[in-house]
Order: sequence, then C-alpha cells, then structure tokens
Amino acid sequence: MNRGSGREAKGGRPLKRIGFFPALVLLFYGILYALAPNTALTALRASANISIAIGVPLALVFVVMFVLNLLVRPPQIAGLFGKGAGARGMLLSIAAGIISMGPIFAWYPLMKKVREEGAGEGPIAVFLYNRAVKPILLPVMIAYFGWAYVVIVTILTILASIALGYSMNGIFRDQIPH
Amino acid sequence: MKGGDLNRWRFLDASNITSALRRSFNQFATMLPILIGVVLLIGLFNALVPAELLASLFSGNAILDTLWGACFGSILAGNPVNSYVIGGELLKRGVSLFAVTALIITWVTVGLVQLPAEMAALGKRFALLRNAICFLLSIPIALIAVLTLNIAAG
Repeated sequence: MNRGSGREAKGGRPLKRIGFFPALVLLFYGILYALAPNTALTALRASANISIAIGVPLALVFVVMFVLNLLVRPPQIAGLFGKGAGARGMLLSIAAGIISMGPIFAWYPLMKKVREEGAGEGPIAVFLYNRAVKPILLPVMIAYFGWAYVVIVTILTILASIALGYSMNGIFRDQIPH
Repeated sequence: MKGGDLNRWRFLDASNITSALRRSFNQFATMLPILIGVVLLIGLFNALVPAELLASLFSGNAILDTLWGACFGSILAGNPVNSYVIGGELLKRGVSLFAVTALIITWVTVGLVQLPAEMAALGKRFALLRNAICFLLSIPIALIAVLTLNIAAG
C-alpha cells in the first residue's frame, strides 16, 4: 500500500537540526537562571503547567495517529483532504478544526502525517485556523464580550478560514501532482 | 462469506497493530523535541511579558492599536481562555475592541513561538505563508467585527 512513503522529505528535518531548537531554548533558560533565577523558575513552572495541560490533547493526537495508521490508507486521506477535494475537503477541515482540542502545536505531528499522505495545504490551513472556534469555550467568551460579538467573530473566523484555505491552495497550486 | 469476513478484519492482525503503533511512535518522536522547545518558550514568554506591560503599550489610535493587538496575539500563546481574560482586562483599561479582537484572533491563528515546530512539521514555506496570511486577515476581521457589532447595536 506504500503507506508512509509520499512526500517524506517535504517539511522534514534531520533529527540533529530538530534537537537544535530545544537546546537553544534550554541555553536561554540557563542564561536567564544565572541572571534572574526567580524569573527562570517562574518560566519553568509555567512550562510545567502547560505540559500538564497538553497531556490529554497529545494523548488524543497519538490515538488519532494510531487509528489513521491502522485504518486509513494514503489515497483515502488524499481523497478526503487532498488538493482536489474541493469544498467537501474544506467543510471537513472546518468541522475537524472546530472539534479538535488542545494547543495548536499538539496537532503538528498529525498534520505532518496527513500532509505526507496527500492532504492539501488548503484543508490543513483551514483545520489549523478553525481551532480558533471552540464551542466549549464560547460561554466564557460570551461572559466577557456578549453573545452578539461572539456570533459575529465566530462567523467571520469561519469565513476567513475558507479564504485562507483557497489562498493556500492557490499559492501551492504549482505543487499539484499531475 | 467467511473469507470476506476475515478480510474485513485483517487490519486487526497483531502485525498490523504493531506496525501502526511503531509508525505512530516514530512520527510522534520526530516532533517531540520541537514540542518540548515550544512549551519551554511559551513558559518564558508568560513569565517575561505580564498583562500590565501589554496594556501600557496601547495608545488609543484604533488602527495602531489593532496592529499592536495582532502583534501581541501573534507572539503570545496558550489557552484561548487566557486571551479572553487578557482581552477583558485590556477593555477595562480603555483599550479598543478593535485591538482586543485582533489579539483574540491572532492568539490562536498566528504562532510566532510555535513557528519552529510548524516549520519542522509542515515546511518553512507553508508555515511562513500561513502565519503571514492569518496575521493580515486578523486586521479586516477585527475591523468588520467591531463595525458590524456597532451597526447591530445601533
């Protein structure tokens, strides 16, 4: 089935280069600790809280990746979210973005996988954008800004995501495989 | 009939499950160092940029404040609820709804802190273009949202 082959190198990086970024951040922590230990510890505590908060979403992402690896073949992903999927692909991406949970970066491994297996740039961008629409958080947003504001911003966000999706598809059109 | 049923459940073979698990672990492990770096970087930003500092930078000019709002939303990261809380605080301090809307939208849609992770996962061109377009989109969304709200409110 040629699973996992696809665009292996696209967007990929050697592990050494991937390790450079966290090492750089750790170095910054080291310098900050030497200059202002309390601030460095506050930052570490904030990072620990974020790590705890993203535990569940990351576990969910892993489960979704496992299920996709087990059940879905690259041609199916390309069919649903590929560059030729059109309006259906966009609508599916909007729905998936809205129901997804956790921070945006928790979803990068899954997005990398579906892109390597044929998903288009537009649907991926639409998915990431619609993470701004969170039904579970709407009551909090309404409490702060009122329902009229929330309805307007939510509708505009979804419309903007569609504009973004088609823009990304247009920009990356040169990469459509023939 | 029996053969068809067996074929239908073939994906549940131990070898298929092991292979899917191994692939998932590998795909996940490739991204993990970057994710750890991003989490540490967000912690740094949260510790170094307090909400009071943000409020002091808004001047009262709607266009400039909208741009500032979009800039801060792009730099800051975390749970969207935090953007509502910060946005609510900024409104109380007299910052315009244009700026707060731009901040709330870019908080989730643009991620400078997460950019290294996005570039590693989806490629430099995709990540830079997506974030740039999202940043630009946040300005008209903020303007249209507040103007529509004002019209609706009469």
